[in-house]
Amino acid sequence: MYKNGSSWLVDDDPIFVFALSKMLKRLEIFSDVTTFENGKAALEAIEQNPAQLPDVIFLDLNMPIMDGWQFLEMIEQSNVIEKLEILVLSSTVDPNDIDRLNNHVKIKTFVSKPVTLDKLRHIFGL
Amino acid sequence: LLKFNNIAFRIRASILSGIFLCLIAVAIYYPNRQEELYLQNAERRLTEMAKTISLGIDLAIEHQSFYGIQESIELVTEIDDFEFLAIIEKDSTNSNYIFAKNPSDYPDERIFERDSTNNTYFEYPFSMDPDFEGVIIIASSKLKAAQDIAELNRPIYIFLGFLLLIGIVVSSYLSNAITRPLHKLTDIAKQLTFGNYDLKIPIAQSDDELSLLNNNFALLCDTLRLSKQTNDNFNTYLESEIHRRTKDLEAANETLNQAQIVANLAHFELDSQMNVKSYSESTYDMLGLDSIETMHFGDLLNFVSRKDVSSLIDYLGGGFESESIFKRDILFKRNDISSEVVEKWISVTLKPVLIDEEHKGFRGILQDITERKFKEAEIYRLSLVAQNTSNAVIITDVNRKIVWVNQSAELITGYSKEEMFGNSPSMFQFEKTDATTKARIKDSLDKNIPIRAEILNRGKYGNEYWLELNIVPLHGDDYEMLGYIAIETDITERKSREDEIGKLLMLSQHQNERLKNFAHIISHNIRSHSSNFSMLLDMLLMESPELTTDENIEQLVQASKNLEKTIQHLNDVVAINTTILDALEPIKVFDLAERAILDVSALAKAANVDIQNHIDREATVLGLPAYVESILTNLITNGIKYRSNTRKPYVRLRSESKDSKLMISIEDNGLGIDLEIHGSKLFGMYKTFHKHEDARGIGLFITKNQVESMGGQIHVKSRVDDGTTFLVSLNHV
Repeated sequence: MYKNGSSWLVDDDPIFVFALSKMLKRLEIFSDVTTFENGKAALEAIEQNPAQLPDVIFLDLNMPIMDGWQFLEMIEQSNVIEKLEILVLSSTVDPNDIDRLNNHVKIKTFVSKPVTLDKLRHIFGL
Repeated sequence: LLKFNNIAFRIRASILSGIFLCLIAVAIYYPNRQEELYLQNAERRLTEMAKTISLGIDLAIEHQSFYGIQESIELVTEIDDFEFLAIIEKDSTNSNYIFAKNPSDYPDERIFERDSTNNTYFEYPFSMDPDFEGVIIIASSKLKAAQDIAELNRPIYIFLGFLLLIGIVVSSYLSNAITRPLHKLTDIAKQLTFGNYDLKIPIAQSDDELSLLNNNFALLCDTLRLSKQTNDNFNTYLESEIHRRTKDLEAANETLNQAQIVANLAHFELDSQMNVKSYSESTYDMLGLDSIETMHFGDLLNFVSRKDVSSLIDYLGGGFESESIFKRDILFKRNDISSEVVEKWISVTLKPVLIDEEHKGFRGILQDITERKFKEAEIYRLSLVAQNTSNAVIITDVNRKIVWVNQSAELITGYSKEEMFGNSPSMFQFEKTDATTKARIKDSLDKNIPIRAEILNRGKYGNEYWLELNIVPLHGDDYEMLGYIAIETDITERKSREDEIGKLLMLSQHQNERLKNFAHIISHNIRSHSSNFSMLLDMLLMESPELTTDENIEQLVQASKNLEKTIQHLNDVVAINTTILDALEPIKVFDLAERAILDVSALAKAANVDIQNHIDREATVLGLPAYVESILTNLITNGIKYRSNTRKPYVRLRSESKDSKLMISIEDNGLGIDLEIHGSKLFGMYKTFHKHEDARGIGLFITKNQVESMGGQIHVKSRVDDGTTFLVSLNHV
């Protein structure tokens, strides 16, 4: 589906980034995985090169500098949102957070950590 | 004539006595005068005679012839009636002898005897010659003189008698003339006396006193006739008036009787012997006696207390002289026909009856004040309550001016009764008193509805205090407004406690919030790490499958799972929102129970547990569907997990409405719980972290929290090796 596609992983947790990157590599869904330490870094990358958008953004919610929520708000105000597919990955179990995500119509998928291979396979229909 | 005191007699007597006196005077005076003249005449004649005789004697001496003397003497005696005449000669020896005498036979001794009783003697001495001297004595008979005088006086006596007769006749006539009209007038007067005024009295034309009297009588008669007429009219009027007034009096008496009955009054009178002399109709009704007629006042004393008796006796014993009044409320006690004690309060007033300083008994008034007395007692008790209650009680009139306060009101406000009376209770309010509360109170009072409010007031000495006010409008028997009663509780202490509690609540809310945030952050952060752990372990086992049998890795995987599970529980606990009451919605318990049963159906089937849902299909409660389902699932799962292997296990769900609650029971016949040991910790979180292998721990903790967050309650009944029943009560819609 996304074979040879590109994906961004926006998360400040290097262990999670390491583990997820490994999983994605193993599943061979994306040919290219770029990581950003926070929302701001990702946003800057979009602003610098709006033409080079990834196929999927894996977005963490709790991050320093600019968290997932702020990133979502910023991105929703821009015109690129239509071209993006964002998956939220979070360890949150707060029902308020889940409710809040439902308000962001663009977010189709929320994956609760820990992310497992089974979950990823299910999401991407493998 | 025999009536000596009538006017005729008086007139006659006066006239006659006048005439009689005149006649007597004449009768005395005139004969005396005659006698006197007669005697003078006799003397003169005798003197003449004596002179003549002496002259004769003289002549005889001269002529020496005494013959003539005798002759002349005899001559003289012829003329006059003498007793005797004698010439007595005195000789030289001074002895007397009779010279001559006439009558010559008159005894000498009688001449010398000088009987002056019967005779009057006239002596004429003579002395012609020294040898011849003597005295001539002429004696005349007094009887003869008296006869002569009487002879002289007879005609005058006859005349006087005649005059007397005429006088009687005239006086009779005059007296009759005067008394006749008087008699007539007397008759008239008599007639008038007998009330006969219809007399015809002819008016006399002359102007003498009697006529005037007559005319006056005529006038008097007319006047009397008129007066009688007037009198008769007046009498008739008086009679009718007396009749009318008697009727009025009777009516007034009747009214008085009625009034006495209405006013519970009665009166009576005692004589000085204390016997009941008279009494009004209501007296014996009031005292409940058959009759007090012929009764002695002392008999009534049997019905009153000893204290009242002694006060009555003191008064009755000493009240004879003074004007003092006895007044006392006395309790009369007696047995009625069914010998039940009847009590009556009677106000007794006694006053001595004094007539001319003399004691005639007593007058008494009784008034039945039983009702009033009982009311007074009631009011007294109520006032004691009001007075002594620790609440302040303030009563105002319709115009909201204070008319009564109790001691607590004085104590709380610091003002004295006198300072509060006539003022409005707004005197206690000040700038810090809440304006909204004031307006609310005023509004309720205007609408005459009771009001409860909490208000901050200020006392006389500047002390501020919180009051809980309960103001109720006061209505009389006819629902007319009498005023307001305010019952006030000093809640200053409670208020400050509430303030403290409020602060504490805020503090604990803050802390709770911080704890929640803390738990949230902790759970999130730990979860991040634990999920990393499990991901890395997954990756490791995937890349090096031979490690699956490594004991250390195995334990590491188990530890990672446990950690994740613990964090899951922690999250569940944190997730329970304790302030969800606003989000509650009506839900059908039966439907949710069906879903819960479906959730655990695999587990139940494996354990061969029979699950029965007897919950009322229509029963609804206020709750969160997720919570209710979770609760039911949890409790059913418990029943399955702790089933007994010695009997056919079941879990039975039932419901029952009780007041505003729905009681849901989840009953099993499992192992049971020893509540004596575990009871206090059953719903606690304590077990969660230390005996995590016992899943019931955290489950019941969450269940209890979920139940309570919806305003419900959960209880447990259990006996070891018999079964367990959980009772969940939730609010009805």
